[in-house]
Amino acid sequence: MKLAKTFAYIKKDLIEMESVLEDTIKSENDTLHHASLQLLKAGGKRLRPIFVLLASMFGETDKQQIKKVASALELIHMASLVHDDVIDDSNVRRGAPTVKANWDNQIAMLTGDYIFAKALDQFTDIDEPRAHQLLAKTMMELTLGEIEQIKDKYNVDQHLRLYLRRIRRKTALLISSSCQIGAIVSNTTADVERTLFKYGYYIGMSYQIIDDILDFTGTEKELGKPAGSDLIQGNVTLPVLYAMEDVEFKQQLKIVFEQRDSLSKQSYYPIIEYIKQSNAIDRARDLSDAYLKKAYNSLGNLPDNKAKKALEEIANYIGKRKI
Amino acid sequence: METKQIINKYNQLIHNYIQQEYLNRCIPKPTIEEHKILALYSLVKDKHLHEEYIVSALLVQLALNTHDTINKKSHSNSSKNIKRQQLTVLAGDYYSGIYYHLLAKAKEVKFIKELASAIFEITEKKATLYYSTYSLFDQLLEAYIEVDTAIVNKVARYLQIDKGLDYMNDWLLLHKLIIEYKLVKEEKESFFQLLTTQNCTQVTTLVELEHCIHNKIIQLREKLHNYDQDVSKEIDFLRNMYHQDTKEIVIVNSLLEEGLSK
Repeated sequence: MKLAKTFAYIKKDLIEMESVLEDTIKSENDTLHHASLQLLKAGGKRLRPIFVLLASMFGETDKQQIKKVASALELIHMASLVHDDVIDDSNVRRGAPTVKANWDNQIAMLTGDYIFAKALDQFTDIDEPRAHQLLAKTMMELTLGEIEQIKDKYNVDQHLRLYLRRIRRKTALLISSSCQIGAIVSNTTADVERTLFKYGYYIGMSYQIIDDILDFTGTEKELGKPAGSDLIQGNVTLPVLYAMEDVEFKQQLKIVFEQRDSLSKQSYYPIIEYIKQSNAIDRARDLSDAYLKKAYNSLGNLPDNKAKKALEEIANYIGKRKI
Repeated sequence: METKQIINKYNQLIHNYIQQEYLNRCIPKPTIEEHKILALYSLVKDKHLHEEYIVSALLVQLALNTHDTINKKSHSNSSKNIKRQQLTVLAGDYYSGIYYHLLAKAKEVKFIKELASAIFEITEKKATLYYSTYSLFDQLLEAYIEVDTAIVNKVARYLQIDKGLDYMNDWLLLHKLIIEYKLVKEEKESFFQLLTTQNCTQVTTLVELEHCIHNKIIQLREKLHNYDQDVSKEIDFLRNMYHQDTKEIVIVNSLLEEGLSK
């Protein structure tokens, strides 16, 4: 909710959306109810709903409908997180125990399926086939991005294009779709809709790159998990890709990956340290900044209003964020 | 269309939809429940977009069944097993995504909603069923079949088919039990075996389970044979398929017949 402070005029909508979220996940089953609520109360930046709300301000807004759309997109994001924690075997998220840690994998799977279904149930109150087609395609791409991530784990022979395609699917598309769906539901012009989609895409790419940087530069307290966790899980992110341009480092990483079943986490520490000391972090930040610049530039096509100003502020926030 | 042709057609269609190179390579091919293909076919065969209805309902079923196979605890240290578990989570999510995509393309927003409500109702019931202890096999079976037939029932109600749903549910249960009976006889593991032997005090061994399933199959066959209530034309189609010759239904095989004649 920190972002909401920078643009008070959607704060009310966001607070109302929070209560829509809470109402939507109410379940007759106590365990599912508590597991979903725990996830909801753990917070989060609510980026996707914010984008839906702001995008809708470029068209004719039906507040009730928009809140449903905004909360449905946040719920889909939440459902994917609870399943991600099973995939990554994570016990902590945002500094709090995950659903799988508090209960078990089966409850986490059921909770994810439950939240996903509740999101769709909510979203189907919107009778706009194009919005459904876009969201459905995005959800399939999101899963394919995650499948690709697993496929590419521990593989040092990767290139930038593969990484960019992965983060586009994994992160950028749900953000760009949030912007575009906000536009579709509020009947903006085709130009505005296209611009908002592009903005969301660039912001999403930058957001994920910064996430990948923070995995190395953040502290355990800030990240809610040890630094370098992604690398230890075998994920070759942008800083790692840049660092691998040093052939000796690449060879060293290859050996560690190959011997991963018999190595401790500590074996990764010199590798993590090397990446932090190299120029890989700065280069990754440069690419993130290039995407942010594209996001800024794309906004030039939009009419001037408070929502446009807010979208600029978000781009600023993303460039500077520490968690 | 012949029973076998119906089953083959939808099996093939589903496998075409879920085709994903890396998933195919790393996790076992999912099993599509043939008796559910037949039940769904009976319900919707005369409707516009019947293919989309059947495929999307089966995809939802497949997604939920796939997620059921995730272990409660992550205790494997082998990279291969970890990867298999990770991809199983994603496979279920992928099948759900395809169901949504298929119906969104067909602009069937109402049917998307219907299946979404089936999913959350099923997950709520599962969260109770999987964490409860039942003293009798019949009690557990009653809760189980409500979950297992929920999607087919949802489709029936969506199409306002209500006469003879009890016949259809017993028919679905019979065929589910036939499959489970076969698995026990062949000493192959199943989620149903795990659930019953862990959550039912009457059934703690596979021998006891085999005995309980056997008795229930006989009981259900008799019940279905003597069913004399009025049914809708859709359920009547299913009934005729069953009465024509049970051997025509692929899943009722000679192994079962041997088992029952003991």
